[in-house]
Amino acid sequence: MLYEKSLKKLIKINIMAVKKAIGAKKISRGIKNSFEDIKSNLDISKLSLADKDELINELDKIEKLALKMKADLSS
Amino acid sequence: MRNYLVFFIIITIFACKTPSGNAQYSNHLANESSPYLLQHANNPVDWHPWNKETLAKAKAENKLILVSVGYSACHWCHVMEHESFEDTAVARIMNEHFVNIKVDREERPDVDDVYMTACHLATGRNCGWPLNAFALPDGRPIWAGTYFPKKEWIGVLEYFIKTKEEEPVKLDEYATELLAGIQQNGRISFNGSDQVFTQDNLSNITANFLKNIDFKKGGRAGAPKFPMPNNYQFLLQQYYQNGDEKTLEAVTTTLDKMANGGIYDHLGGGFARYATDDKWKVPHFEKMLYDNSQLVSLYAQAYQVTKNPLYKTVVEETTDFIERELMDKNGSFYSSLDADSEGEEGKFYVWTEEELAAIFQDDNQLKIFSNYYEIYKKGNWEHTNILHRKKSAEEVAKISGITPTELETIIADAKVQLMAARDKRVRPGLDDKVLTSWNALMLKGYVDAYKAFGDAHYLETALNNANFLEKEMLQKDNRLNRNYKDGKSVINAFLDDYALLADAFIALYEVTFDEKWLYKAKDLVDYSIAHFFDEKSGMFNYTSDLDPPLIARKMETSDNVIPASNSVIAKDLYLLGLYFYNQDFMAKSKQMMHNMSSSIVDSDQPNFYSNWCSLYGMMVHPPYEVAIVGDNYATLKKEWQANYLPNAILLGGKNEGTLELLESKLQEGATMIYVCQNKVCKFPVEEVGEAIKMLD
Repeated sequence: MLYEKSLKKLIKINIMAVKKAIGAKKISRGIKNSFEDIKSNLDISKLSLADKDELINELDKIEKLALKMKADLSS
Repeated sequence: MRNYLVFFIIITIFACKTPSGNAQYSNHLANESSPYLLQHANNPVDWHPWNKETLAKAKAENKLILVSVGYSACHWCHVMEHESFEDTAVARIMNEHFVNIKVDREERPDVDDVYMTACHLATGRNCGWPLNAFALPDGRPIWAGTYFPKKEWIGVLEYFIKTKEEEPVKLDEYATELLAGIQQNGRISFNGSDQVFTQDNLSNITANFLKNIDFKKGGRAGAPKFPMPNNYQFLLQQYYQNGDEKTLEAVTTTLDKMANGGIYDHLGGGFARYATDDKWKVPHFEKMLYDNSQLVSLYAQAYQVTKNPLYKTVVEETTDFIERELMDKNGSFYSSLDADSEGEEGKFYVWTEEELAAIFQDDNQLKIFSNYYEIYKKGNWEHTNILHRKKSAEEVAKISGITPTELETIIADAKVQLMAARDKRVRPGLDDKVLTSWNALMLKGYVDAYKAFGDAHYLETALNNANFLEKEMLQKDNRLNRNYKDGKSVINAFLDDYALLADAFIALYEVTFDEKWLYKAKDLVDYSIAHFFDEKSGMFNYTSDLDPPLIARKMETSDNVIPASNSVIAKDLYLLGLYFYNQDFMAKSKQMMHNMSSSIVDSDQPNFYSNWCSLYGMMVHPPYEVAIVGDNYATLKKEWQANYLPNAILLGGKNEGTLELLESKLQEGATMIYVCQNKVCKFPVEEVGEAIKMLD
């Protein structure tokens, strides 16, 4: 259960990080749109700890977005 | 500047004879706190301290100013004092025609920098101390030189007396020319081009760095050899990134040779300021806090990388030396020990074979000790012996027909006996003034020693010092004092004080997770931006806008034995930018690095910018943010810090605290380690080893 709790927490942390970065820096419209898509389809409070695959899937989306954002910023 | 070279040649050929005197006098230095100034308080020369009253006096009397700069541990400063400034005939000339100002360069590096630049420009070569600068009554320098024997010094004085009387316009022309050069010197321009920090450039910088290393003897090729700890901290950082054994070899060869050389005090611990030869054998014997503090950091970090027990011994012995000879009971650290005692350079530290024979009273011990430390009957330096090592312990044990363990016991016993004998000698003079910037370096040294070895004593000593600095040097409005002696602080701090103390407080936060230190570091940087920052260039001035202005407001940008205050504060801005997610700090740091990049990337001598180079490394490989949060944070933190991990900043605690980077990271019933970059974190883990694997 600790693993699932960590996953859920991490989704929240990473969403916060991306949101903060988008607010502070010049991020391309594509990334902003991707982020809005993820946010609008995701309610963290309703994510089930029992559905590990879904948690990993959501986390994966955020990490990929963060990676794109990093590349966008350094280009 | 061609005029100056001609000028220099003319005045150095002047000479005349004069009698000397020994009368006791008292001048305007009597109420100063600097030991160096107090050393001159009974000279017949009517010395004044540097202050507005003295400068007003020069203007009112329309006299030339002599600004004579030195420091307590400076051998040639003492020689010139003895030869010239204690001489009544010399004093008579100086008192009649000049307003004479004595400056302790460690207290007033701002004044030193202005007149030292004048010396570089006027003579066309590097200058040192004592520095003797002549200036017009308004403070504008007209010429500067260093040490002069008495006869030449009188010639110089007479030249300026004569020139002032006969050709005052000429002096004004010199001053105008020189002032323009001083004001331009060291100024950095804003670089408006795109900011690019690349691995290719970093590799070139490292390659150029290595070209200057003496891989046989360590250090930079040639003599004299200075320890320059920051150079090797950059190379350690690069070794971590590139894994190139040659990069590590540059560090370990240097550290091994220094630790075995005469520059290291094999009995009492600690390093002398530099070696006069290219083998680290013959030291210039003064011991400075700023060298030893940074060398503690360097040897501790090198131990983390190599686990070489020699490096641990060096840290232990050097901190013993610091605590025995340079630490006050209030937790502060003094500045330096002189090279001289009983009027002789190094007398406290060297031994004749006869002296050793009388102490050991055991021929075998003498023989083994002599083999171990290269002691000779005729001496290994000026008919006496400097302890240093060329042979390994195994070689000496073999030659002596004993086991390495027996050798270790014999040498340890001999060292105890010699220390007891040395303690009876007349000690070198102590400069017991306390400087914020140098204390900050030592504070960081103790933090680094604690990280590497986990010994609580190192942390306790660091905290005692930090508490002293907070109580005595830091004011409520975040202004700092530079100096402290006998409860008095009389000088406003300079940029190096703010930058180095902020750096030390950041380091202290990392080992305590006490956010107070991180916020204090931020307060110091905020204050520096308010009072030292130059909007036009994006760099920082060395002096505060609240201080009485000198003839030029200078910027310190080259990393010397102490890193440049601009490179240190640029790094502070970067680290605090990460901790506080402060984009303004980040942008300022990157702009400063960008402004300096062209000087560094194409330089054949990047060692003059070694701390900038480290920052460049951080720009190319941004540090991970590593958060340890939960009940068991202290144990995991200690385990993490035993490793050399220059590409990570550390934060955390039992709870989430107030830093945004820690938000949402507490998990009930567990202590988790988060490895993050740009605030985006990888899956948290519970083991330090697993977290380290997540770093590139």
